[in-house]
Amino acid sequence: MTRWGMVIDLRKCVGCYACMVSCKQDHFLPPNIFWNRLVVGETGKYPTVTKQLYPVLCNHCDEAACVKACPTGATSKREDGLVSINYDECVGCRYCLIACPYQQRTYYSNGKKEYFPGQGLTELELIGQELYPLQPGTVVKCNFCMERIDQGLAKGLIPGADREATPVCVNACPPKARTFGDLDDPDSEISTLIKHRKGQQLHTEYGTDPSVYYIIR
Amino acid sequence: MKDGNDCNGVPVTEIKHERSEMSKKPEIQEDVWIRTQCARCYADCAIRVRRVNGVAVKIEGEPDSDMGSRGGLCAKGLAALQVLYDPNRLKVPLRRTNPEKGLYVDPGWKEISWEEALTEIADKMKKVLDDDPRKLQMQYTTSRAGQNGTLFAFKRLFGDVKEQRYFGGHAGPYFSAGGGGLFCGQGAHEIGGLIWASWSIVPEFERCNYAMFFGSNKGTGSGHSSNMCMRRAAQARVRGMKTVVFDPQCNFNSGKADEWVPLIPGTDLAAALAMCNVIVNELGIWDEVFLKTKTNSTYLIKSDGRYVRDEKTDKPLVWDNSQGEAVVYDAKSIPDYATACTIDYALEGEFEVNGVKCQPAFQLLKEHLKQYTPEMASEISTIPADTIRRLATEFAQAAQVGSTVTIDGHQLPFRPASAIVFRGGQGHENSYHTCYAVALLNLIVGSCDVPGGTVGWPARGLGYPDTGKLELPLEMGKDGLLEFHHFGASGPIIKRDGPWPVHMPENHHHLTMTDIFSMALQTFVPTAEDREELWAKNQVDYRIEMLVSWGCNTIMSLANPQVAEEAYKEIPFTVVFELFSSELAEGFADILLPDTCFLEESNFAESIGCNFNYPYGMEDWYFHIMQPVVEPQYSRRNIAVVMWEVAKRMGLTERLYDTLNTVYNIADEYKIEPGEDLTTELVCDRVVKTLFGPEHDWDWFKEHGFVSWPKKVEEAYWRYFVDCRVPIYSEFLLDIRDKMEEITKEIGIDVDLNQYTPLTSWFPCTIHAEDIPEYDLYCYSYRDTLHTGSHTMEQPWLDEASLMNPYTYNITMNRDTAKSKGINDGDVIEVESPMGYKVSGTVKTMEGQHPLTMGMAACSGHWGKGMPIAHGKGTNFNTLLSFNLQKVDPIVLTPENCVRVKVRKVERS
Repeated sequence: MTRWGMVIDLRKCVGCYACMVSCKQDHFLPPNIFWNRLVVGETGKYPTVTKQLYPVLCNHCDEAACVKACPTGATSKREDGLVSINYDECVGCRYCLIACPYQQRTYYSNGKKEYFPGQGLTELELIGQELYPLQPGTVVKCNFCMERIDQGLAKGLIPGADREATPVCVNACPPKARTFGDLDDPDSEISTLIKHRKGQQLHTEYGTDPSVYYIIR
Repeated sequence: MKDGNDCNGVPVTEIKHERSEMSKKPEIQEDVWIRTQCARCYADCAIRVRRVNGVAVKIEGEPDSDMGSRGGLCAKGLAALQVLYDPNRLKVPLRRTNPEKGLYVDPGWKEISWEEALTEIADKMKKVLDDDPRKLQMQYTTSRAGQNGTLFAFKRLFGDVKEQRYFGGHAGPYFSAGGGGLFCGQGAHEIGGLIWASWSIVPEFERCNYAMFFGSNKGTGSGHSSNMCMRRAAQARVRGMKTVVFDPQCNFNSGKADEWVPLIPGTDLAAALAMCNVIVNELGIWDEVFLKTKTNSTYLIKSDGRYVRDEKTDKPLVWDNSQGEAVVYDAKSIPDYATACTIDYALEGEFEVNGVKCQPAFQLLKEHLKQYTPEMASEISTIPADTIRRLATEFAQAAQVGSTVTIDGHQLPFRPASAIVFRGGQGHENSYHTCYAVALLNLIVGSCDVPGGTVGWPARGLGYPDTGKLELPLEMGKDGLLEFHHFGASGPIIKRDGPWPVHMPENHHHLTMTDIFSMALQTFVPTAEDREELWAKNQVDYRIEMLVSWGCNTIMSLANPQVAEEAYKEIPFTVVFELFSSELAEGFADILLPDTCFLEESNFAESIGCNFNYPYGMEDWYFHIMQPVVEPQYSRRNIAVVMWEVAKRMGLTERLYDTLNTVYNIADEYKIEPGEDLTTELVCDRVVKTLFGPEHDWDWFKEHGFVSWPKKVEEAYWRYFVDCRVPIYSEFLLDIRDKMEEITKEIGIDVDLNQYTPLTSWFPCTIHAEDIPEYDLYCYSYRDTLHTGSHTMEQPWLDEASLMNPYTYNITMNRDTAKSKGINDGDVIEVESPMGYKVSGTVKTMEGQHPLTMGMAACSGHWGKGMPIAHGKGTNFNTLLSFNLQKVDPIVLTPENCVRVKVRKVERS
């Protein structure tokens, strides 16, 4: 079986926000909707301080709380581990927003929200609504660039190895902090990274078994 | 549905969606990828842009080029799409109808035709130039750096400029405005050129094991080769390279560092000198071969500080231990490392030559450094003395002096330790010496342009193999020191002098005063508090009568707006080429012209930043071009085309063609002939054919995007392949000081000439010496990784990220310091300088902030109407700065970028 996952190497991440912006660009996401975010903070006490950078996205959990919470079946887990939303079946009840312990879901309410308020939708926003339409009144989140994976596989490409079949945030990361691949393959690059550099999931106490791992040091 | 082809000819298929409304998708008539270059900062990263049905929809880093992240691209570059499609972009030429000028004045823009604009500009410019070319000022910013060549052509075209020099002079119309504001790397570029023949320096991340940074974010998303450095530094961190960062704030590079060393701004110099002292005098570590053969350490110095020179040849003498006598420095040729190892010139001791007592420069340096104890530096900087001592020891040991590595058959020194300074460290009144002290750390352990050490952006090139063009030669210049003529952005084509030999001060009564301050890149004078006083004393009998400003918002980025306001008001005619109606334009432009964005332009020049952005170390040579992804809309025009038209209307047609051929060094067979229809594509075509041969014409480049060729060890690690030296002892400053003394006495201005000393020394800045205890904090500005200059806050994606970031738009303060003043997160404070300048902003407290400091992201606080997204975001730091002759580095004129302040909590308005 295949289970798609991601490793984010925090030793490499510099907090440049390329993940967040590339995702917004590729999916033509409207204002204030983020499928990738960067959490910035610090720990310690002066002068022994550690800056903390956590790029976060949907964890595509194996035991996904959102899937259990969805009353219509719009949110489901695919065989390859991706947690996806069928917008046609989503009724916008937002139970999943509350259920997701990682706060990775957003309710998309307004299809007319402009990046330049009061100045109309730009050419870029207009073509975006055609090329990558979202449905107002539904919940949205990171889909691990499912369309790239599916299309890539159909062409015989390997997600994580071939750029065209790999999530955009992985491609866009300037310090190359992100690695994508098959968690079920013990020899995959991400499995090796998790093993040798002690990849950790966020909040294992939630029991959700995320597919996104972080390398701390 | 049609599929497009990508730039490799590989089909690109349409995007597929997970939703079920595929039938509603638009018909895709076009889907193509176009290879070009980014210009959202000066890093010039290689990118590819996807265009669907005529709309640019996606940007990514070019995966097939080393000139960038090999596929990745930072948020600033990605957000360029929101520059392209910003509805606030200027669409038509505009004229000011309100005769009043000033900071917050409504210009009353009125649309005019290009014809009207061109006629008026040509008329005014002709009058000014016929009268006195010095009355024309032209300025631009480094995010248009690739267009450096364009501006340099203007300088030659409109001015009486024969010289091609970067430093000093500036007789004609020229005034570059600097990248991150406030004369970005003034001292760093001078020292970069003098020691590394490069605009700037960086650790060779592939082999470096220990990198020490002083106020520099190289590797974390700012600075030269931004994305390339992020890629290579990340790999180095994983490999185990230790990073130590001296910075008042634990945020970007310091936030990624293994060790953050907080200090008071402007005291990096003290720390670096103390570390040099520890290494030389406590540890007794130095790279003997390097110092003896690659520096002037061995040059014998008389009691007056001057070189002992050979009577016949006037060449400096060194003491040859093997012969027991003084010989000229180049008595033996030293073509390679193996020969260098055989040289035995004295570094220490006392000698007598022709009856004159003298010592090698290194002996003087070694003695001189003894005064800079870690304890003394600790008192100045607040860094614990033990830390300074330990870091010096770690650095020196990491350098592995004596070790070698063999690469491609060449045995070379292996020095995997590097010390880097940039804008933060060098932005003070002691800029020159700070950069020199950091350079000394590298020089002492011999880690310059050798594997693992500090390297420049490749300074030496043997040329494109098929044509021999783009050769970047380094040579032994006057007194054996490193000389070259391809400095800075566009240097390889335009051929501009490096810093050596230095120019001597002269007084031609220029209002820039860079004829006097001959080692300065740029000048603070035209917008200084004391400009009228300085001009009166120096009998400057003219004023700027016309300003042509291009893509730079200098009222925000280069001066205290309140001080500069009067200066800009006094200029009778100001033309601004811009993407937006900037604060400079709104306040002061008479005519505002809609410029093209880099995604609408043809340009070869973005690629020619050899000293700027070519891949360093052993990564290959790359030459990229910029081409339009979309055509300009409305009546936007590229500045080059506009100014060419202005030149023609001024009757300069012949000179225009001659200038372009000359400045771009176009080969005879490709010369642009008068009568040819001049377009940017035509100029680009002639330049690339000159460089790469007839088969590589502009069409070839448009299809392929770039050309690359392998780099040789002799290029990447050139130091031991070029028989030349660099100074550890700046003897030339003595001559300059004498001349400066004469000039400054004559005109009656007060310049601290003590800094003109050959041995790098500690000099406090005004901020350190002022006895004003109630101004208890050091306030400074820093570059946020999300922003370049003053335009990026207008892009909504970057704005969203900035709002999400806890620090970008806020004033950062140490948490305990804030608490002691009753200030908490989210409070609004007023910040006041000793001169009474005030700004206000919202506080974010940090543990990672030196308790005596507070920081603000540079170039924030837009007040204009032309950029509504940026409007009101952040706080304008520059408003706090005093801008006068006493607040600049007296050698390179770097303005002091830090100010003492007091703060008080105010009510949120």
